[in-house]
Amino acid sequence: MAAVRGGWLAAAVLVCSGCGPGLVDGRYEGEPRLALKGSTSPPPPEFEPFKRQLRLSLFYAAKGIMGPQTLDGLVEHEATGQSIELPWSLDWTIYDEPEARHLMTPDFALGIPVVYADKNGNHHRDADEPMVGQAGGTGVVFVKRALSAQESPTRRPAPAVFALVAKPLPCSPPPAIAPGETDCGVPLAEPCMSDAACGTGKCLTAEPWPWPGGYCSLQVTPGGCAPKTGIVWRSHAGTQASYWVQRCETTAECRDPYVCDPLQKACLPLNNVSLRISPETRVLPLCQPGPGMTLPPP
Amino acid sequence: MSAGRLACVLLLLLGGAARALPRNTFVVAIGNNQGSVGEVDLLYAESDAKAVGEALRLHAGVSSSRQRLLLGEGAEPVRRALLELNTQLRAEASGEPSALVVFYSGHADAAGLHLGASTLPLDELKALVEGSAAAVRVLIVDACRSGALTRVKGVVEAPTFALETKDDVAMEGLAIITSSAAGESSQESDRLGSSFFTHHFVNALRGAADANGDAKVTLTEAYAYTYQQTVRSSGSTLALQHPTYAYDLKGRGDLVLASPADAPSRTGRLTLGSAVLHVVTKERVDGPLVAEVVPQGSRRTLTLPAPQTYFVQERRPDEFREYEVKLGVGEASALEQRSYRAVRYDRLVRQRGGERPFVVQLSAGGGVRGPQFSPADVGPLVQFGVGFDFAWGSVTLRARGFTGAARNDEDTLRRRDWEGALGVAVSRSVDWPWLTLSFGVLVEGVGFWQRFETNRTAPHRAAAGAAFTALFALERELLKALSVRLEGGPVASLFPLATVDERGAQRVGVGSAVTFTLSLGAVWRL
Repeated sequence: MAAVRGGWLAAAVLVCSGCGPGLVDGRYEGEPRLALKGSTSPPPPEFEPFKRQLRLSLFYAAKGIMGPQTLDGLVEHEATGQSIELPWSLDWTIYDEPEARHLMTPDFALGIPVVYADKNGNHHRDADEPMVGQAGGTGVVFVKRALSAQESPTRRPAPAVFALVAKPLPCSPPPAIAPGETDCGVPLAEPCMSDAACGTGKCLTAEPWPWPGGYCSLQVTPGGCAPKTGIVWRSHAGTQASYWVQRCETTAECRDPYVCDPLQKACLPLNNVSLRISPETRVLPLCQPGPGMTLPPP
Repeated sequence: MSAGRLACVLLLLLGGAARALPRNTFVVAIGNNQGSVGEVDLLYAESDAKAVGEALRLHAGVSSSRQRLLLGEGAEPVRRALLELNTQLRAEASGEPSALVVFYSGHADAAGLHLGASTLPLDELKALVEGSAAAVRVLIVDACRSGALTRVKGVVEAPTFALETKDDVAMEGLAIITSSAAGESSQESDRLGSSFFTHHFVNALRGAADANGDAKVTLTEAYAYTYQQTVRSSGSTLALQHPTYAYDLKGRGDLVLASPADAPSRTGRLTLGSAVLHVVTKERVDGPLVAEVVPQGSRRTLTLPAPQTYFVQERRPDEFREYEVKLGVGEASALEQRSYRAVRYDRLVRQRGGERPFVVQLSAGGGVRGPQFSPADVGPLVQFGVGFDFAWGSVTLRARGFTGAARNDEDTLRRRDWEGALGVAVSRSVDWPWLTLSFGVLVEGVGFWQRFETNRTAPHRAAAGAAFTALFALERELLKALSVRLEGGPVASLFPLATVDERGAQRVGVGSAVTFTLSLGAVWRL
């Protein structure tokens, strides 16, 4: 018996000694491209009849990101879909890059998480199937190759990436404000519960999204101090004020659970996809025009 | 003496006819299982003496009334019997030719026969036989170190002999045959139920020794055959045994000991196949052994008791042929005219028969391997093997290839799996009349490859693992050396497996899977 056990152990050791990436079974769906966490707000009563028919998918703005849009103008990527029930908190793994039909330019695509009622269970949104919810502040951008500011729909240079981004996207060139030489007395991106913890800065906590643990920032003012590790980020809520936030190239530079937005090069709270459940048909703005800009008509 | 030279030993007498033992032949057959103090009791000495007496009665025409059977007697009764017989011979001397055949089976040494607590000196025995009034005296001694009688010691080539002949002179003289050289032991065989020497001597008289095919067995032929077979039989033990002879005969022609074709009623004649070893048993393959013979000459005919059913196993180099023969009284039956069952090489090896300690086998087959990573990845496999069949079992080196198509649980990813394996199988077999059942274990080192057919990012994967299979096989012989085999069993595989969580993150550990394999193939034994 001991010899048999020893044989099995030896075999297991041998098998694992050259493990490598290993084999996969039926649960493998490919290498994940994006892994998202998220949650939904509680559903209103009118969604009760089909709360078990809901499906979450990425819908891509194939016709562009400027101007108001409806769900009918977006293109679903069915392969990213999964069935959900409300209320819901998720781990959502995306394995597929957008296809050609999802791209708004040959090299650029913007997708937003959308929940709809898949009444006929065909895993595809048909025209009569209503939108139930959408992600308020998070989208998915796919850039096939590095784009210059002229090539990019956001008028900002974009690296080749498939990643989460803050939505709406800034659709104007970045402000021409260079970081300074000091930290301006503000511990950028450090946790906080009030402004007092941020020195001369501001503690971001809830607008336009929840900032996990609080986030020290510094409001951008004309002639004001520019933290050496900062980059300008403009809120799309309220007064749409601009703030200095932590500059980054990769998520590894950001405090957990913050994610580096590849288009804005800023550490932002993107990893929690907050799905707003409401009976509206209007797609939340995809693009945030620059100060003084107006968006073209639809 | 080499077998070839022995086979060529001939009497000189040109054109001379062989002379049979005369009608006035007396036989004294002495057998004693007990030897001196300290000697292990023999098992077959007394039955051997009876067998020789019976063989001389059946095949040499010696009447029972002229036979004296002394079983378990001491030296004095033997001495007295020989003296009384010599007195009788002198009293009955009428000018008719006469002969005395004395056979002894039991313990002995270079000094004498060990007849229980008493000893009969060899010199005295020889003198009693030599001094007999019979014209022809034949002394046959089956005992250890009996070669002292012929003064032939050890393994020494004895010269070919030639008998001096004179025309018109009746056969007379003394012939001594011993079962072993001086200094050698004589052995009994439980398998034969007799001593090696006596078993082969009796079969010689039955006709196995008829080298020239004249239906008569001469003294020379009987000795040559018995020598060959005794050396062969004793060669499978630790001590070789070489019968010896000393002839001082003169006359016309060789001395015929037996005429098997003229055997009285209640016998039949069985002509054997080729000049290979034949094992003859009564009734069935595991019945009482009757004869183990290598027939000489062209006639190859044995005279056996009848009516009787015999099972004959002809042990050819490439196969055994098994015959069932119902031999009737006076019937002549030939194996070559009978149907037989051929026993395959590997069965020979497993039965510890034949001359080959193992058989080489080549195998190939195709089949199916059951699901391993997902329910749908059943696919075809091919396998090849080369191995050896031994008496205790088989060892085979095997190579296997497999491919299967699969989809993941969400049906979003297509995959093709490949496997290549190299391993060793060890198995044992049970032979039934029409099938052979084998069971064993196959241990393999396995290479796994997974190829994905998808637009998603899914790099190809390769890994090394192991597989353990409990093998069960049924094999049926189709043609000589070619069999069909149906094989299968459960397979347990070990491999590095990337466990995927809900977020798609992977962690590598040891994975296992149990499935089945089933294949149909051919086995060719060389």
